Amino acid sequence: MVMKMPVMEKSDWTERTSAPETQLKQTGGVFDSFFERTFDAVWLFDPQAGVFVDCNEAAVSLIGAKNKEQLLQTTPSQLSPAIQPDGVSSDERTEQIIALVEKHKSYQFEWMVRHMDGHEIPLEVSCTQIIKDGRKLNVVISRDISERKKAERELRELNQSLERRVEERTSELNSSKARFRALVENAPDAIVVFDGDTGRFLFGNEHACRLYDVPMEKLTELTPADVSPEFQPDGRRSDELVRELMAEALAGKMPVFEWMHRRPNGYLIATEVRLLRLPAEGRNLIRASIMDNTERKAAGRALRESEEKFRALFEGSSHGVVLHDENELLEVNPAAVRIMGCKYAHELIGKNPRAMAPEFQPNGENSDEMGRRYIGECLERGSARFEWVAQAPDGRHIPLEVALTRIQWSGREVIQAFITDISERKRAQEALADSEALFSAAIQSSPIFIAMTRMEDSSFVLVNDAFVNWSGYSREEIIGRNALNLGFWEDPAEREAFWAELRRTGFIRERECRFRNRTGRKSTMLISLEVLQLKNVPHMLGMALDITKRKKAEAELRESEQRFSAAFQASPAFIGILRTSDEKYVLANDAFLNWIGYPLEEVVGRTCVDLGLWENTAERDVVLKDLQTHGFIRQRECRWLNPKGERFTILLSAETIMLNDTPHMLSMALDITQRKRAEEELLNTLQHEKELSQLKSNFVSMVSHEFRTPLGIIQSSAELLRDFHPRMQTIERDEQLDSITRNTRRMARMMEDILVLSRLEAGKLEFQPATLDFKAYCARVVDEVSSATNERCRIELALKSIPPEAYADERLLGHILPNLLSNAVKYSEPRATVSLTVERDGNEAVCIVGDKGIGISEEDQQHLFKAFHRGGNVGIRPGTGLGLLLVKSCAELHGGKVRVKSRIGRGTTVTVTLPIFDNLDMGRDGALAPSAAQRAGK
Amino acid sequence: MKKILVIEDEPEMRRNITALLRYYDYEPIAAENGRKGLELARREKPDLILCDVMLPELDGHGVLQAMQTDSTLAQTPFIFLTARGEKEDIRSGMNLGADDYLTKPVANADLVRAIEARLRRSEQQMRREFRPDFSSTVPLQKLGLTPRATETLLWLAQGKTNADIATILGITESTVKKYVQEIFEKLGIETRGAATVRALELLNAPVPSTTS
Repeated sequence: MVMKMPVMEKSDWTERTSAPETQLKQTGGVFDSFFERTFDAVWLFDPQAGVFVDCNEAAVSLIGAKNKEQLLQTTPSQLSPAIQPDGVSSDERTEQIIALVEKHKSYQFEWMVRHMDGHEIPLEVSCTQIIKDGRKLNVVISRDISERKKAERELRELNQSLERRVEERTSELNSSKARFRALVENAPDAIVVFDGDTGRFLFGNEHACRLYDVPMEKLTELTPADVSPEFQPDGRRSDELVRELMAEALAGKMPVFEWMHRRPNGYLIATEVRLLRLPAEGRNLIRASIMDNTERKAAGRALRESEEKFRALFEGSSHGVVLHDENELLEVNPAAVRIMGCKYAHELIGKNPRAMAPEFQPNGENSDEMGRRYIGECLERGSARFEWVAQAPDGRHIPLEVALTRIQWSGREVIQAFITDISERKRAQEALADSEALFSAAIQSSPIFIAMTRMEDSSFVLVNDAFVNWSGYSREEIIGRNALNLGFWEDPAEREAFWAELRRTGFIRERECRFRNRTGRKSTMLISLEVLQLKNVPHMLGMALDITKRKKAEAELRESEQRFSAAFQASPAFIGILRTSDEKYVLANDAFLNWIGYPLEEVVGRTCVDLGLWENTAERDVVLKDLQTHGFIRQRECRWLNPKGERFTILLSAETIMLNDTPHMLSMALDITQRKRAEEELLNTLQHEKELSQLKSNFVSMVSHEFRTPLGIIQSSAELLRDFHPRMQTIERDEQLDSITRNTRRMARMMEDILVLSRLEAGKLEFQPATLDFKAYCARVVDEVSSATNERCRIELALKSIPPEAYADERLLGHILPNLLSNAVKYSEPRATVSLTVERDGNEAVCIVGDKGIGISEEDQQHLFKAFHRGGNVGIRPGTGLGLLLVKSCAELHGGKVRVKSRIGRGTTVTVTLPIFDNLDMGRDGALAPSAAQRAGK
Repeated sequence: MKKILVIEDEPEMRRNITALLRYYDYEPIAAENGRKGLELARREKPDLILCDVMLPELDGHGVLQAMQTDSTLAQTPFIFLTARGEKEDIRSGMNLGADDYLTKPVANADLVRAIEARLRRSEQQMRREFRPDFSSTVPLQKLGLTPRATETLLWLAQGKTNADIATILGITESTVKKYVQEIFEKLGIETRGAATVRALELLNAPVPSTTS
């Protein structure tokens, strides 16, 4: 049988929609894996750039390139001969194809490509437009049809030669059959031929056998229905469909359809089948070329899955997703409904997207125009992103962020809009803007120095006004430089320590550092530093408080505290500090502690009452009251007792002070006991001195007075004598002369007495004893007085057991006994008896001068030894009034005593005791023991 | 013969004064203490009293005070005898109304002169209308002098020297001189005598009651 092989024509596969492939663009990852794994050569072509931007391994090997990179960015023409088989230039053809693809979204054609080693390869190419990552790309799937072409050609040749030799060459038919078979064997497609009448397979190539998993021999026994399941996926019976399709093919059509085959093991294979009637004499032969569709199917499934996923995402997204075209909303997801302030999708679907907005957008642009603009942009570029204020049905403005994408949806180009309600964000932005403004203002106006530096080089990126003012630089001079090269760090060691801490802990908190500004002014600052990210770059935000003044104040306070402390401790005054509220000591200085004899621990916490300080608590109460009223007391004299009970006079000053905001009393007490004592003594001395002085002046006036009188007498007597002496009687004359004499003598005596007295007082009169024969002395004295008194009275001398030697000062004695005897005589009546009795009593001589004269009144006895005192009864008897004083003084200087007994009118006894004898026993012969001599100081 | 009362405790002094007065034809009566003196004064109504300041039992001041209160004795001229150291007493004594004072030791002639002067004055006062009252400065106040100057004039008019006036008033002599100068200037005169006359004119008044 002659099989007429049909001329294989360039097939126009325009109708071949390759639906799964065009929809692959929506499935991203699935597409990618398809891309890589398919045996077909797949290229990605950028129609705008006109170059291939990607290809798979199959493409690489197809072209014979070394690697993918060789093929990237190449134009089709670069990989092809300049002229295509149909005579059109590759460039022109490329343009055409691009346009066609653009128009129809897919296009199939044949193309001659050139292998790297030069030979040309015919390809069957399907080109589909997709959107990948927002770009329009063409997926170019190409299959090497060289073999097919070759086969076609050869078939054509064979056909021709067969037609020539059809009549005679059955054996050639066989061989051509075989050749055919061989050719067909090698065709990449699975090809079977079957009888259109019987429906049985006549022939199947390797591929087909492999496809069916049926050996060649077996194949011829089968019909297409046998290698198919009973029902096709669409539900129709396979055998019916087979007959239909065969009929179509026989009718001259060339049906292309999907067919599910079944292998003997039951395995289903999705295929794509093309039928073609083979011209053959007398027989209806149909050729079927079968393409394994499994992958494509899988891709289709994946696509469907992804479509489902897409739907799920669409529905469930929290972002609003809206599908619309230029004029109306097509689909909205629940989120979009919610965002737009509606309840149901149908409120939105069908509406014009621009109708759901106020007339004007915030930037002043007309909403309609703006919307149109962005949609246009999206359609052109594939995407657009912008902010949009929509309007809900209730009139509420909704700020949205809108992302538009151009997609294919149900065969149309539509806009997929992702809308996000950014009201919160807008509010946050405003709040942020406000807070940023606030922050900025706060930073700028803060009196604290604030600066921001870049972490890597510590350069300043932001400094506030306070910082700039302190630094002495301008802002421009600071920004970009760091603290080290601006010379801010005073001590490099401190800087090191600072950075060490920052590295260790990651922040700095209130660290004291010393800085120096441009002019060299030093400041102490409290620094805090925090690391933060600014646009993903680490920065440091630092704040510094200038505490120079505070430090200075602290130092001054410390210094003054030290000074106070030193003064406190070193002061000789007793200083204590007491709490006003409970009057307890909180502090006391050493002077106080030493005085009170307690250690500090025993004083602190006790009051002055506890310590028994006050002699008189009433005094303390007054002091306390005054302190409270006036806040201080100054130099108050008080009496304190120490624990031993000793009395001290102190000068107290106190002041109310604040310690830790609590009122305290600062008490300072100066011990003036000694001073007071000295004062008293001084006062006494002064008093004494005054008295003495008074006495002296009295004495002097007394003396002068005393002299005046005898002088007056002498003067008047002399004048009388001078003036009236002739008229005077002798007796009167003598009287006057006597007066003169007497008073002269009186004055002389007074002078003597006074001299002696004054010498006594001045201490110039010394006791100068010598050995004396007392018995003889007494006798002598009696004689002298008698003589001096003109034997007016008889003086009796009685000496009783007087030792022959006495040790006495004769000069002093001369003022004692003669005086007393003279007095006795003077104040006795003439011819009366005056006695001198001397007895011995131990070492004393007891001399008793007695008279029976006028005596001394009781009253006068009081003033007896006063200077110039004379008894009221002395009459005209002359006397200095110093006599007894002299006697007493001299006796006392001698170590003796004077006693006077007297009764007025009866007489006077004056007893003088003088220690002039030796104490030791005398020898029988009355001789003195040698110690008398010793007494003389020998 | 004028009766002079001498009150002096020093016997020899008393004897001498008494003798002296007798020689000068006075009739002296003597007392040895203040009390006795007062008794004697009241009894004898002397024409002049010469009294020592320092006396037992009643001193000179006491005597004088007693005198002043006694209208019969108040007018009796009174002369103090005093030692130098009693200037304060002199002043008070003079202010009390003593006519004069003499400091011991006093020369006989001076004593006699003083007595005579006092007696004469007293007599004059008794006889004539001219009876200046030296007890008070009030009459002199119309001269328009300062109080101290007025006082000075009062004593000046009684014949006192500047030294005396200084002692009496208890001021320095130079101050007295100043006051005297003031008196001369104010009165438009140049001598103490003239001052005295002017003063006496004013002091001469009808017998005033001095028992004040």
